Amino acid sequence: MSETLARIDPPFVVTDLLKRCMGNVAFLKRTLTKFQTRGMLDVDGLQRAISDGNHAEATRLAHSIKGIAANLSASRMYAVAGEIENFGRADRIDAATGMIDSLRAEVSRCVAFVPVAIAQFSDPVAEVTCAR
Amino acid sequence: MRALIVDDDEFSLDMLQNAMDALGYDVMTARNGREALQCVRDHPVRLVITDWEMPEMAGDEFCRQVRREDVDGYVYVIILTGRDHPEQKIIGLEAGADDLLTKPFNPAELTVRLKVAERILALETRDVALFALAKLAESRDPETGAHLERVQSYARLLTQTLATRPRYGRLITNEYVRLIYQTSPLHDIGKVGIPDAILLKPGKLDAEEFAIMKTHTALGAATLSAALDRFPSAGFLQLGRDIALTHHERFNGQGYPRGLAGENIPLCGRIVAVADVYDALTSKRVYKEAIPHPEARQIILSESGEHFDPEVVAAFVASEGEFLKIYARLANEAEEHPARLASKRKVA
Repeated sequence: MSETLARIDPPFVVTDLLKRCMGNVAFLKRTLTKFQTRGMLDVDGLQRAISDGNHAEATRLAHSIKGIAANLSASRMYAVAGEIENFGRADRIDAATGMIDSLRAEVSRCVAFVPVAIAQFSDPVAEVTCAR
Repeated sequence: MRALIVDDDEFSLDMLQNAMDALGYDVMTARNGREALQCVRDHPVRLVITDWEMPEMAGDEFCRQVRREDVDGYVYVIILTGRDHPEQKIIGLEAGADDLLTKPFNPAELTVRLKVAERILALETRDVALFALAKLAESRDPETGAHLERVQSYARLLTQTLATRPRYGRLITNEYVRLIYQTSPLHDIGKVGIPDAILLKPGKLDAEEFAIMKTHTALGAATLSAALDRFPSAGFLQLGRDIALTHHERFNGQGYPRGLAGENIPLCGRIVAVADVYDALTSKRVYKEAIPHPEARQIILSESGEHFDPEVVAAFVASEGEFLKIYARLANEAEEHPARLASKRKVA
């Protein structure tokens, strides 16, 4: 584990993600880069759906964000997205309005951590070692 | 092995696809149940891993549809679910799923569950062996063509149609439908014990010959009973034995070998009776020409409550369009479609 990681409270568990990527570092990097691009857009979409009172879309997006969090092993992001999803399923999506900021903060923390997570695998030797 | 993975979320789909690629599967993907169903229809897919919550068609409904589909071979379905409640598992398994996995997947668990799936799919060789056995029996009578394939499809269709009626909803499970499909080809297996001079006689059988011919039901049942004695828990053998023994019984008690009547005849026997007779009527044989569907339909209807169980006849009427489709798909090259035969006769 690098010094940088030791200083930061990691918002997701890179080792879990690597296992879920079947040890494929190149795939892990692609996945995290995709999340970096998409993470905040999903939160924006969720916020819009809540404002529009679109329960179905808000529930779907919260479920999707929860799924991403589960794959990343991002426990806090998972918990907040899960609560919003539960409000949506209970037809009480308005009650989730106040939680959007918490979700945004968590997703933001995860997105900011992506370069740190990827940096662990910048050494080609380490990449080969981790991949197998 | 080809595997289909289904998820509306791109991120989850990519993760699972990467895992399945790494495990050596030939992976196809779909974004919802409807797309997945089309894939199953168009490609020989043996294994499906599907998300539960998806737009258009959810994972549980996809399972139900797959079990209703007329696909070759068994499709093993694993549902991925984010909700780890026992109720959820019951719904999934009742819908026809073979296994459920909690999201996000654990790679080690996924790997062992897939090994289980492959082990179960390997059991399908049992079904192949059953069908080969039935085909071997049928091979002595080459003019019957694709009779077994049609009878098993007709029998499954009748069973599925009956399952939609309240009375049979609980009795007819997905497993029962599957077993009917697998074991109905065994209905005439006892014909291996009938001499060629009788089995292949082009004309009408005399009374003595017919008495010998009738023993094929008991002969088939005895063969399967012997296997059942050795493997008592093999439910498919029990159903196969019941079908072989009772498919010539008549609802009015005038059939053979035991003269059983009404619901004393096992449901499987009552179903295969209609499937077998419809196919015999609409197929060409050494001793007769094929007859068109409307005439065959009329004969089946006129025998409701006599030869056939009225509820099975009602299921036949409700699904006759599908009967014609099965016939068209599995028609022998030498035979004509019963609907075409009907129009030919009209012209003549």
